[in-house]
Amino acid sequence: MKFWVFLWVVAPFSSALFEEEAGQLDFHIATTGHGPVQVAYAIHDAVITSNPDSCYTASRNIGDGSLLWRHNVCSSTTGKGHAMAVGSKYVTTLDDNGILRAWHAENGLLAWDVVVVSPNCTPRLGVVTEKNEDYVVASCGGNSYSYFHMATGALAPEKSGRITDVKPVTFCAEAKLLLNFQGSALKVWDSANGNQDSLAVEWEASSETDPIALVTFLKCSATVAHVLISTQRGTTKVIAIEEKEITTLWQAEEGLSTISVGSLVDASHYVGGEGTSHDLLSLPNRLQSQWKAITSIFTTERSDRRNHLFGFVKIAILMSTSANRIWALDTIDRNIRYQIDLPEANWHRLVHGGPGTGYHGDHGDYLALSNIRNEQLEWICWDGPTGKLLQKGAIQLKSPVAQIIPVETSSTDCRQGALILTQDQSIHSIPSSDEVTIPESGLYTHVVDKENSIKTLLLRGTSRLTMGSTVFDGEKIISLAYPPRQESVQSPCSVMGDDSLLLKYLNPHLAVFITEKVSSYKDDEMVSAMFQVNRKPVGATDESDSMEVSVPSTKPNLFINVVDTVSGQVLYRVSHANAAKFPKPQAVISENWIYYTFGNSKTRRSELGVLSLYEGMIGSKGVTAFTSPEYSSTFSSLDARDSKPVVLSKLYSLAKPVSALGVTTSRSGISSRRLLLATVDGQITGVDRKLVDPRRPLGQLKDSEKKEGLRPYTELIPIVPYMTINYNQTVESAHTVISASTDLESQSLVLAFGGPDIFFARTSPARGFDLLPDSFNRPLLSLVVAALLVTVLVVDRMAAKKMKKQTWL
Amino acid sequence: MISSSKVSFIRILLILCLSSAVAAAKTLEGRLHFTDGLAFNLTSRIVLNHGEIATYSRADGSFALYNVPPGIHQLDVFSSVYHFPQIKIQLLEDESADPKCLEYLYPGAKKQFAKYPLVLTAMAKYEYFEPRRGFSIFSLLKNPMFLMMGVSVILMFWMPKMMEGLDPEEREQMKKQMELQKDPSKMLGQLFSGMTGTEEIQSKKKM
Repeated sequence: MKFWVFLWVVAPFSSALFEEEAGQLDFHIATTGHGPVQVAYAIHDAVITSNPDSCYTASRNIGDGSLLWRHNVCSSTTGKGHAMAVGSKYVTTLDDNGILRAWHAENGLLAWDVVVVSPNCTPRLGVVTEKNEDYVVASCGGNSYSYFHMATGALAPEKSGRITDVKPVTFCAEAKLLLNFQGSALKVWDSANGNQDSLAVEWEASSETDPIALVTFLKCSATVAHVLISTQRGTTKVIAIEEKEITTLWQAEEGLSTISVGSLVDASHYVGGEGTSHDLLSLPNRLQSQWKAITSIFTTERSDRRNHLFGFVKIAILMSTSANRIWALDTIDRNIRYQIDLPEANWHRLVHGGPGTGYHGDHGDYLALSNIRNEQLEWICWDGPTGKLLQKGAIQLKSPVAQIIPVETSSTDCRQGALILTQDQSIHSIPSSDEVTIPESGLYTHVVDKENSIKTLLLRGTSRLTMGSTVFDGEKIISLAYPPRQESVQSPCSVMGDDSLLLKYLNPHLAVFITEKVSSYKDDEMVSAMFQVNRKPVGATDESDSMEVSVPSTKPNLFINVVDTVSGQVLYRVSHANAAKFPKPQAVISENWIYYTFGNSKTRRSELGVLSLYEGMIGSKGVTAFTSPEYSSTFSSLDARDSKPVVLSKLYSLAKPVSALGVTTSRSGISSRRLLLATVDGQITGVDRKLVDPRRPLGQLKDSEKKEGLRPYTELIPIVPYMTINYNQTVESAHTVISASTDLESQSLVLAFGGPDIFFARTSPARGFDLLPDSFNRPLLSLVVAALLVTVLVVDRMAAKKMKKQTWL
Repeated sequence: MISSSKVSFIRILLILCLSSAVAAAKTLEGRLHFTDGLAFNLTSRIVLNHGEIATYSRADGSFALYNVPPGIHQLDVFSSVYHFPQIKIQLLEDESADPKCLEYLYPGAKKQFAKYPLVLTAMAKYEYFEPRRGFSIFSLLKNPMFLMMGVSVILMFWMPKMMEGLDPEEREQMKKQMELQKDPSKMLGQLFSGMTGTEEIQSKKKM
C-alpha cells in the first residue's frame, strides 16, 4: 500500500505524455535483431528470417516490410546461435541449450516447447512431411535425431520421408525465372527448366562494397515475383519483378541491430540565410514563427521551420563494428540520410570533438578510424550532416594503438583530427602532422594497460613524461566512464536550505573505472576453508580453546574507482560485495555526480550508487558584502592537497536491472537533469535527480532540508510508468543512452541503441516551460481573441449610446 | 602454503560437484493468467535472474523454464503492458522436493508464500499516458483569473441596481465621494480634516 501511495505522490512530478503525443516527439526503429539475413522463408504474406549465428528469429510483412514479430530464441545469456525450420503454419527453433520451440508463423505466439537434450547443443533442424502432417527433426550434433509433431510437440517415431531444411528458392516455375547473383548484381534469367536460358534482367541491387549474400523467391506467380535480397552488411530488400521491370517494395537495415557507438550532430539549417541562433530566437522571429504555425493549419504543408529554429534537427551518426558501416539517421523524418561502408577491420573508432569543444562538437566533421591488419590504419573524414567525404587516407603504425586523442585541426577541409598514441609511445597525426600538432604547453592523456592499470602521460613535443600510474592488483577493469565534454554547468555551487554553499568538484579530467576482483587460488575462500583444521562453527568454542573462530566474511568483488586522468591518482574508491556479473555494471558522470549500477547476487536486486563530489563548503555567513572566503580560481590535478574531493554517497535499490545509463542535457544546464535507466525488460525510465540525491537524510527532515526540497531516504527507487519515455514500446538490450541539447533550455533529445531496437525521443525533464506544446489550440486562441475584440467594440458603442441617452434626459 | 597438486585435486573435485549440480537441473513450471482467471494469451518473456535463463509463455499461459540448477533464483515476467509479481524460488538438490517460492506483489512489498506450480496473476495494467482532462465548468472556477473576471462582470450588472435602491441623500454623498476620488489631493484633505475636526467646525459655522 505504501508503495502505491509513494507512486501517487511521485507521479505529479512526472511530465508524462498524452496518448495522442505518442509517436509525435519520438520514433522507434525495430529491426529483426539478427543482422544480415542468412535464412529466409515465406509463409503466406510474411517472410520468416533468421541468422544461425544470432539468437533472433523474426517475421516481416512481404508487402510493406513491417515487423510482425521478433523473438530472442536463446534460453540463456550465453546462447550464441540457433537453428530454424519452417512448416506450413509453424516456425520451429532449436537453440544451443537444446530447447526446441514451435511458434505460430502468423503471430509469433509460442505453441509448445520441449527440451531435446542437455546444454552444449550444436543445433540442427529439418522438416519431414508425412500424410500431410509436418514433423520437425531435431539434432544436437552427431547422428541422433528426434522427431516431434509440429502442431502439438508430441514425440513421434522416426519417419522415412525426406528431411528438408530451409534453403533459398532460386527457381520460379510459374514465372519461369531463375535467380543468381554476382557481387552486387542480381541476375534474373528466363528459365523453363531451371537452366540459365537467357538473361532477362541484370540489376545493381547494392554497392560494390556491400555485395549480395542471399537471394530467394518469396512469392511467385505467372505475372509477378517477389524476391528477397540480403547483403553482407545487413541491407534487406524485397523487390517485385513484373514483366522484367523491377520495383523495390521496401528496404530494411538489419545492421542497425549491431550499433556499437553513436553520436548526435546538429543539422538545423537556419531559415532565412545567415543569422545566429540568438537572432532567430528573438521576439519578432518567434512571433513570425507562431504566425506561420497558425497559417499552416489551413495548408497541407508541414512547417519544418520550428524544428530548424529550435535546433531539433539532429543527425544520429551510428557505427557498427560488426557490420563495418556507418549510418546517418535523420531524427525528424526518421530516414537514413546516407551510409558509409568501412573496410573490414579488427576495430573501428568514431572520433568527434576535441579538448576545447563540446562533445557534439562546434563543427559537424567526423573521423572514422579502422584498424585493418598488422597495424595499418585507414581513416576517413566526412561532414556529419550531409555525408560529404572530406578527406581520407591510411597510415602504417609500428605498434598497436594505445590511445586516440580527438583534436581540432587547422585544416579547412577536415576540421576533425586525431592524435594516435601507440604502445611504443610514438605519435601519429591524422589528417597530417602539419594540420594537427601537440600544443606547446603539452597534452595530457592516459593509457589503459593490460586491463588493470592506468598510466597518465604528458606529451610535449617529442617528450613523453609519465605523470602517474595506478595498478588495480588482482582486479580487472570491466567498465569505464568519462564526463561529457564541455557539459553546460549552470552554477559551480549548490545552495543548501540554510543558505550555505557546497562547491561542486568540476574536474574535466575525471574518469570512473569499474573493476572486478579476479579470483586466484590465493584468494580462493573455498580452498583455504577446506584446509583449515579444526574449523568450528560460530559460538562453539570452549574456554580452553585458543583457536579463533573464523566467521566466513563476504569480501567485496566490485570496486568503483574515481581517477584523475592527469595525475593518475585514485581520488575515491568504494567497494561492493556480492556484485553479479550480469547485467554488466554501468557508470555515467554528469556535472559533479557519478551514477553507477550493478546487480546484487545476494538480494537479487539491482543497486544504484550515487556519488556527489564537492570541493568544499562555504557557510551561510561566509559570503557577505564585507567578507568572502579564500578561493583559488585555478585548479591543479597535480596538487594532492587540492585535487581530492569530498564525496557524499548513497546506495539505492532498483526494482529492475539496468543495461545502460544516461543523463539528460540542456543548453545552459538550468533545467533539472534526469537520470535515464535502460532496464533489461526494454524500458527507458527517467528518475529525477532529487530522488537519488546522496544528501537525502536517514532520519527526520530538518527545516533547512525541507526548505531545500530533500526527502527522507528510502532504499527503493520506484520505476514510474509515467516517466518511461518509450511508454509501451520495447527497446530491447539497449547498451547506450546518449543525450543532446537543443536551442531551447527545456528540451532534451535522447537516443538509445545497442540492441535490435533504436529509440529516439524529445523530452522535457522540467516540463516545456519555454515552448508551446504541439497540441496547443491556436485556432481556439485566435477565436477567443477575435471574439473579445468584437465584444469590446460592441460594448463600447453600447456604453456610448447609453451615456448619450442619459445626458439627453 | 598450498601446493599446486592439492589445488589441482580440489579443482577436479569442484568440477565433479558442478557437473552433478548440472545433472540435478530441474524444470520450473507455472502459468500466467488474468485477474478474472482467463489464461494470459500474450506470449511474454519469463526470465530467471534477470535473463540468465529465459523462456516464453505459451498461448495457453503456461510456461516452463528448463535446466534450472539448484539454488535461489528470482523469476520475472517481462511485459510492457501488465504488471506481474516477482517470485523468489529456492530449488533444492533433492529432486523429489518441490521448490519453495516467495511472491512479492510489487517491489518493496512483504513477501508471501506462493504455491508450486507457480501461478502468476497480471495484477494491473501500466499507465504510461497522462489522461487528458476534459472540459469541466468546475475547472474554470478553480482558475483565479476566471474568478476575478466573474466577480467584475457580476459587479458590472449589480452596481447600477444597487444605486437605484439608494436614498437621494445617500446618492448625493456617494456622488461627492466619487468626485473626490477623481482628485487625490482633495481626498487626502478630507481624510485629514476628518481626523483634525475642521469639518465639524465648518459645519457649525454654516449652521
